[in-house]
Amino acid sequence: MLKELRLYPKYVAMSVKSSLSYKTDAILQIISFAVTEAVSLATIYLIVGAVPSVGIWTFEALAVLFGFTLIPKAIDHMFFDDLWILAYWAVRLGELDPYLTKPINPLFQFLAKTFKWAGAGELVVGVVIMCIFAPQCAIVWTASNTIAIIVCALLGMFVFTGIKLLFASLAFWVKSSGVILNTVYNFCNYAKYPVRYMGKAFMSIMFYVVPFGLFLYYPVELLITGGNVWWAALWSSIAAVVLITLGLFVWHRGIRRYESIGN
Amino acid sequence: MIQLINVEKHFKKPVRGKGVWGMVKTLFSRKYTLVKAVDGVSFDIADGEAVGYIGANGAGKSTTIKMMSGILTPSSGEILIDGKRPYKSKERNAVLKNIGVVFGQKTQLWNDLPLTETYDLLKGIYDIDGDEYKKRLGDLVELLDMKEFLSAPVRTLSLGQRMRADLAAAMLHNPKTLFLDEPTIGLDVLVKRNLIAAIKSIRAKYNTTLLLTTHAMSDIEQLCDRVIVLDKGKILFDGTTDGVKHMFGDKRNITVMLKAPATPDALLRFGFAFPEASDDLMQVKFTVDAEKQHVNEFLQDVLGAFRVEDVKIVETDIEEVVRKIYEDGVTDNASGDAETARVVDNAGNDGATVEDGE
Repeated sequence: MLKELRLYPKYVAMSVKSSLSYKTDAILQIISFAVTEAVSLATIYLIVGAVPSVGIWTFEALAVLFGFTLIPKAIDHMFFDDLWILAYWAVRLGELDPYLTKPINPLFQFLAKTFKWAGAGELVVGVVIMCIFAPQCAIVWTASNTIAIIVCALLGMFVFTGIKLLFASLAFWVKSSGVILNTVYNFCNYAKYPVRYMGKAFMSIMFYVVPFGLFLYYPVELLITGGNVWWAALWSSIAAVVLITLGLFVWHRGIRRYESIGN
Repeated sequence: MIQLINVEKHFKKPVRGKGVWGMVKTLFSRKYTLVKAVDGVSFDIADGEAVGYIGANGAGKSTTIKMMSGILTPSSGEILIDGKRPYKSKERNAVLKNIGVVFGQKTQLWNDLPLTETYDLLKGIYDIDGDEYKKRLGDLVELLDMKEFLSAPVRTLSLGQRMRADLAAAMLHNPKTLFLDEPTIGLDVLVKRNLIAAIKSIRAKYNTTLLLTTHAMSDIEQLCDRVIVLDKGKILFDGTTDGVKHMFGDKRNITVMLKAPATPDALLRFGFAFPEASDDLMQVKFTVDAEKQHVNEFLQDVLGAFRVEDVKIVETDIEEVVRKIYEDGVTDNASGDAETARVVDNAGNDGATVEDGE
């Protein structure tokens, strides 16, 4: 594990150098993801403009929620994007071979080799949106809830990664689990809206089944209503531990079934 | 020391129906064919040995190497490399530190970066000491003649250059054992010859144990003292490279071009040596078993019986022998039972026997 941590900067450096050999591509990726997110925020503005605000959820509050959901997603996107490749191709095309013949953790090698600029674009958009709209909401900023919301964002990244690892690893059984992963992952888009008003059944699903509501929506709700954000941090850490453990478990079971491909 | 003890690897393949309806049925069917890619393979390789591992496509060579290098887990049996199993998570790293692997059709190099970047990462992965790394890289660059493309991005390399670079990557950490899976595939004659020579000198220098799969028998003849022939997941032959050549006797094919057509009388005299004459009787072919008959005496007989224009003698090459092994099979257990596979459903009940689809 220590060796992996020691090597991580080297991997990131190599990945960044690799992607810089296609500079235009890297820049376009950043811009396109930033534009995509900006457009979806504009959509929310149009919707909110058409209806009166729902409870505490003014447009500014919604924008803060929107900005916050982007942050854990973006960090995960930057560092663990290759889980999509695991889900869609790597198992089916036998691309895990080279990582399995080296004396360090194969999952680490597989994930460490790619750094995604597009995620950086999303992260910037998320942070900028939060910085613009948070002062316009009636949020009382204390040291405690500031730290708590940052902790929530970091824990949120691990929940994202855990969910992706769990469903991507199903590929060892079904060869390509990209569609399954995509379906589950897309539930995160609902967490950009006040989950609490979406009906009891759906809210329960968003909190306890696919916990995007729990770690993306709940912290912001507490922040805006003046609740204790550390509760959200607690739930996020539970979700992170459970999902990362589950994901690693399924990965380890799966890698034993890995079949590579014939020549 | 490498030991394989009764290793098997099974793959499950869903039984596919025909047409669109068949495809839909496949989705819900739990039936599959059990393909035994490796079916009870046992052998030992001593330190420093060079072994050629050959067989037709789909014989199970790559599968065996993948099990030995930590990629696949055997379905049953045991693989011990210096007493440790590469497919056990606790023993894995200890084994992998001491092996190097090259797959001819895949590269482990970073495509967009200069070679030195990949090597530098490997230095970290294998904990290679700085001075040791410099010296070794220097040696390998020289042996494999890599100086000119050391700082070019990997994607710009030719196949031959990439192969050499991959070989160097596999040798950087001074592995005790080197697995080469079809290293010469797709290379032209000259590049191939250089690569083989380089592998030879690497082995001479570091005394690396070598396991090599290839379809080119010349690779084996030049590199290996021992050959294991695999067919349908089972070992057909395991012995010295000379041994496999002489498996069906030390045969010489002698072709004689004549000045005048051969007479039936003269041909009859050689009835025991199975002469085969061309239609115009201007050319006769003999097959002589050098273990049973002196070739020089036989030739004198031929020269006495015919008016000879030219003589050509060809030693049977290993390729021909191997082809014969595939066609006939030499051992008893090589008979048809490996060809068939069982259809099993998930409950473990045996179903009807079907032909393996491969």
